[in-house]
Amino acid sequence: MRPLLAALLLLPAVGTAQTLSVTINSAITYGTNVNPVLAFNASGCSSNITGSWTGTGLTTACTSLQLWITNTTCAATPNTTVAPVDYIFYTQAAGNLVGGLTTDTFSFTASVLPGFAAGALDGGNTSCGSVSDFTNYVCGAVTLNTATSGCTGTVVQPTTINGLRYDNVPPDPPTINIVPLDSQLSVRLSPDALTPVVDVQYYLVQYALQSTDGGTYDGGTLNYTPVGGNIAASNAAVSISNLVNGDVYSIQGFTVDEASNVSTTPTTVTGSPVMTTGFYANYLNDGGQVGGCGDSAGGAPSALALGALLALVLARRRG
Amino acid sequence: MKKALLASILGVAFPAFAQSTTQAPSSLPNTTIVELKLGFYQPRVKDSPGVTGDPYVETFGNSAMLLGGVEVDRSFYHGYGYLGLSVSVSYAEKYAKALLADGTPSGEATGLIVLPIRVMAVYRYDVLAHVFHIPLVPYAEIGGIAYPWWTNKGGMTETVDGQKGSGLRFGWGFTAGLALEMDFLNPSYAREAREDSGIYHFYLFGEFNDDFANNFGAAGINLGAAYFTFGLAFEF
Repeated sequence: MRPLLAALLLLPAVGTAQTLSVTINSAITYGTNVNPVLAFNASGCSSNITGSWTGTGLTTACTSLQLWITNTTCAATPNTTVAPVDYIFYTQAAGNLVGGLTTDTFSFTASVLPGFAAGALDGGNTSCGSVSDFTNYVCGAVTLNTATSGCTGTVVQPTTINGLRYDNVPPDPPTINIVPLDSQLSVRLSPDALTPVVDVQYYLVQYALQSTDGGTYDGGTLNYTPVGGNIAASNAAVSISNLVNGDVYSIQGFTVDEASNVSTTPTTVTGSPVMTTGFYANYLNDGGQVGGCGDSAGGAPSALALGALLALVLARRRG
Repeated sequence: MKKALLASILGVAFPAFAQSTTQAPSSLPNTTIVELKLGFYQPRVKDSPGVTGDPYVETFGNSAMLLGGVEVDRSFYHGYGYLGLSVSVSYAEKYAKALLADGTPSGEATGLIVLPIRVMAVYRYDVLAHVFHIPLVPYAEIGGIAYPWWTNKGGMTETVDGQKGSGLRFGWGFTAGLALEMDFLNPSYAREAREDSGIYHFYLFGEFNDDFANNFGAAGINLGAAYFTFGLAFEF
């Protein structure tokens, strides 16, 4: 009974003793993704992707540590035979791991991703522009020597798999909903029906005066002004303020996806702010007078009265 | 003679009274009462000087604002009743759609927000509970009030012809209330609460308030109202 208990207690300890984690710099978790993804477009094709690995309990390594990129899913060893082959971008000799090496950095050029070379055996190095959209995965593995099964027993792999997404397709522009307010236009943005919401990084909005007092647009060049900065997809709304009620404004919206592609043509809508009557306007329209501390005379005497009352109460308390 | 008659009547109705009539209410420790209250408040905006309609109803309908507040009372005499000072701060807001020129609702909200602050002298007739063991505490308050207020339209303070819809109204007000001392429901728990947490009593209460927040009749919006509040109180 006791040895069984000891074995049960030992099992988890053995399972968590060896780890390998790989981090890709700038990779983020967004949308419904569980693991980090680094997205880039054609402009990032020749740039370096950097990262690091960290391992624990690898001093019994009997094979070199390999890190590679696959076009499919991560296996225990890289695919070097079936096209497109995996691209091995980092190798660390077993001797260094046995000697105590636990971390290191790496770097490779984005253009080596196997996704660029579907059908080829060279593991990439083709033109980035030849494909439009794919996701590759960063894998790693090292085998440990165990007393019972030698150098075939324990393969240590990362539990978090980083994705590398190449996306060179501009997203569709957003759908825009305008709510006319008093001297303002409220602009709400949502992804086009064909664009997955998780692919939207942010929106851009700009506006221009198109015609005054409800007049007809003369077709002239409109001078657009950006508003709202990078508008987060999670709260995709912006108010355009200080407008003139009755004037017609042109509003344009662009979508920027997670790979920083900007929609090529914007969605363009028009809107006019309108006069509205709130509670205070109703009060004044019904003959209400301005008055009271803070917005006119009349408050000071009352403040003095309240102060005197307070002083009286406090004086009585002390007495 | 009259006193004896009253005592005998009370003695029949409330046996505990018979044992305590001979004892004058002894001096009790000064205590602090914290009240948490809720009520419905509809300001008398239509009674503002110069107003011909009812701007509140025109904007929000005939629907009161939900008001929530906290009050702290502190006694400076606690013998034949509880005489002290109370300070309360409440909050109430009401929102509706602002109206377009044709009277239909627009896409933006308009609101009225008030923050009633009351500083009152308070008297609580807790003799009934402490001497006669009748768990009822009638009380009254009277004092000064200050009502910071502001309006809102489209997410910012409403401004009409350069006049900001916000300010501060003063006045006076009073309260009449009745609290039910809860100790009798579970005397042993009440005793434990007293010994462990220093809470002498729990109360449920209801009260009628009338505030005259109109700068004593001066120009400007009248935010006074007669309203009921209900809540829970703890006496420390």
